[in-house]
Amino acid sequence: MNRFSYHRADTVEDTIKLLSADPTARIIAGGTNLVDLMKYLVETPSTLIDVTRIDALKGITETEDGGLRIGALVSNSAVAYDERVQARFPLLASAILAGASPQLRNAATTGGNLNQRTRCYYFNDPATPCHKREPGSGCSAIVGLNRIHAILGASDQCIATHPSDMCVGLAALAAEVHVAGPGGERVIPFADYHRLPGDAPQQDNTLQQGEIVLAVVLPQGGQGYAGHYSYLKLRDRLSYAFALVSVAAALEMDGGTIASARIALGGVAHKPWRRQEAEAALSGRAAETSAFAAAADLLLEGAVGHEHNGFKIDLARRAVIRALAQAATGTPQSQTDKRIA
Amino acid sequence: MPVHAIVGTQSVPIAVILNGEARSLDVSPATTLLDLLRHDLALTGTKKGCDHGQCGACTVIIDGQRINSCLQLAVMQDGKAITTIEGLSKDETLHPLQAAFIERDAFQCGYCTPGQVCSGVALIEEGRATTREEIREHMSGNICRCGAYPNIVDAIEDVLVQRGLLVREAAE
Amino acid sequence: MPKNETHVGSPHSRVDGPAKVTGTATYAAEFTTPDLAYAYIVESTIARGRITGIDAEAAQAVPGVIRVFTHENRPRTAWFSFKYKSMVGPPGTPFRPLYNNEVQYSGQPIVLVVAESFDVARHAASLVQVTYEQHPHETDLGRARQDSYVPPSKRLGIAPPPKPRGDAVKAFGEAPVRVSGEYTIATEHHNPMVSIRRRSPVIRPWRWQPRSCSRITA
Repeated sequence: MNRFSYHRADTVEDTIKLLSADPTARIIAGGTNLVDLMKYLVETPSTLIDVTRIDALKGITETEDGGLRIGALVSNSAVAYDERVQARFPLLASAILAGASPQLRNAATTGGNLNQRTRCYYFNDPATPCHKREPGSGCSAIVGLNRIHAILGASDQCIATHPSDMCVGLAALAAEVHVAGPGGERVIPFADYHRLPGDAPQQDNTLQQGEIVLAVVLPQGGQGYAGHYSYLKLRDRLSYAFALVSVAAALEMDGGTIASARIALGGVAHKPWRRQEAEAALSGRAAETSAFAAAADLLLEGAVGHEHNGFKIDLARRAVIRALAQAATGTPQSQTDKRIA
Repeated sequence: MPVHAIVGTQSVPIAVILNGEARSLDVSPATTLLDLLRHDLALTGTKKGCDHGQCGACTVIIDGQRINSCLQLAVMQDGKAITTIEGLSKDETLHPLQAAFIERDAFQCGYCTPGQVCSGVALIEEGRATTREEIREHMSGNICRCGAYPNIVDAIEDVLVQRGLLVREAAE
Repeated sequence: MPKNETHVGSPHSRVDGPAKVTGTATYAAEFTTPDLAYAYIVESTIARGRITGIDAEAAQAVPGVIRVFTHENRPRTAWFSFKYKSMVGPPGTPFRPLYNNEVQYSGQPIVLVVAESFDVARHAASLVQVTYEQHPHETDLGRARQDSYVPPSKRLGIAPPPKPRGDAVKAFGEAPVRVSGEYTIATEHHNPMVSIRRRSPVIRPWRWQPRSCSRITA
């Protein structure tokens, strides 16, 4: 760990000022990813801004139009076990409980979950070239071990994936990210928050210099999916491992017919992967395997495997079909009993 | 003094309740809670395994929540109540889960045990695990390289049964 | 065979139980000594080659750093390789830490920063600059397979494997049902959890670690 200055911020305004003044300053809250990266010297911030005392970032509240506003400091556990979230947005609760461990979920925050870095082995090892960590240095994963890497939306500079489960649920629920910066507050649709690597893989998201995440808002519309959803996560062990492939599937059913659908994939791209065409293709269709398979094919269009991760394409296709079937029948994947029904 | 006045790389004063006792400490910003406990306070019951939040050996209970102390900066603990393995037993009286760990032989080398016990105590207080399957899932953040998992589940199950939170399934 | 049911597979309350469940059991890093110093290891960032230079000036200048050890300034250590051999290690020449400028693997300990506190040692270690002359390496067993050979049956210091029994190839060939496939598994290490491996925070004289058969070498 490098030497850094420690600031305890009182207000969002203080934080923005400090962040704007120093591009190498970092916000710290739960610390579960940042402290880890600092020990590996992947992150060497000059300044840590402790935002855990800022009341404006705390709590889950109702929005005027019937949605929920989750403050950036609310822990992953607090979101997952919140009664309102469980009743109205159970897909989000399920996605969160599929990730990490109870200890990590107790510490990790909503804002931190959005901004966590990839678990690409090479990003986490400063001895190896990595465009994301050190732009211009190269990508070790493309020619190295890439079993856990992206099959969609990657570039020739970076094939890292975003590691979050929570964000896959938030993507499917079309959440909004509320941020504040030197220019005031703005709202970023979840689909636009994280970005594809392109030729700037060092940028995980579209936050600007000096901006801080205030809250994530779940719009009221997501509640229509509470009855028919599933978060299906496939990984190398049953618990406490990052996804090889995960699927957040949510349906609005009209009898046996799908009224509308949302599907997001985790573990396959630099951001939670959604595609309007795949979701639109399910509207008005009967909830049956052929429809699910067609949607899966559309969602995975253009998927490319590397030396070790080609299996993910087929795995993702089957996982989408299975998760949609679970959603349609109203029998979501249990995050405790991992047998897949 | 406004709290944002704390600036720089110098040691920072913090006040915590550690195992029920009020403590005032000076900590360097780069010191983790785990290193503070083990090095500065000689509370070596909390173990350093991976030091990266992967093994759970460093689990302590902060304001009622189980947390990996290796990923917490000590300087951020100001005002918090921290319970370590040393704070779970009073004199010769063990916490029921500690007694159950002995009874059920829920360890071999014992290195992961303090973290397992702290995590298990929090699990019992959380009250969300009501089956063996759920105990296993809720203990997934604690690794045991000796493989004492079935016995650890037995021990936790015993305490949940004692408290009427779980009805043991009939023996096969 | 005598029945052993009361001892095998059933829980037993142990004499070390109370110490282990209360956190008072002491492991290698938990014996205190007056004036105990802390060390942090700097590891090689190349897989094979030679160290051409170590700039430890900035690390040495950090207040609280006692000394930065490298192969160039380490105290005299044993020369004969058998002095480094562990009781259960395989035959061959064991690794000798900080012995010379040769890098044999990625992550090899090459510098030891000793300081008054763990934080200082860890910070100072991050300031050490190492330059290398990099040599080609092969870390993929699959690709190195063409160079594989049958080891000599007798190897100094290690008992020969037991003689084969039966004829597996013949039995498989004659089996009425055959299932055949090739499986590749990732490298698996058994790492004991007790923190006394690399990045061990505490310097101690040679001491056996109770359960892992690895030695502290600093």
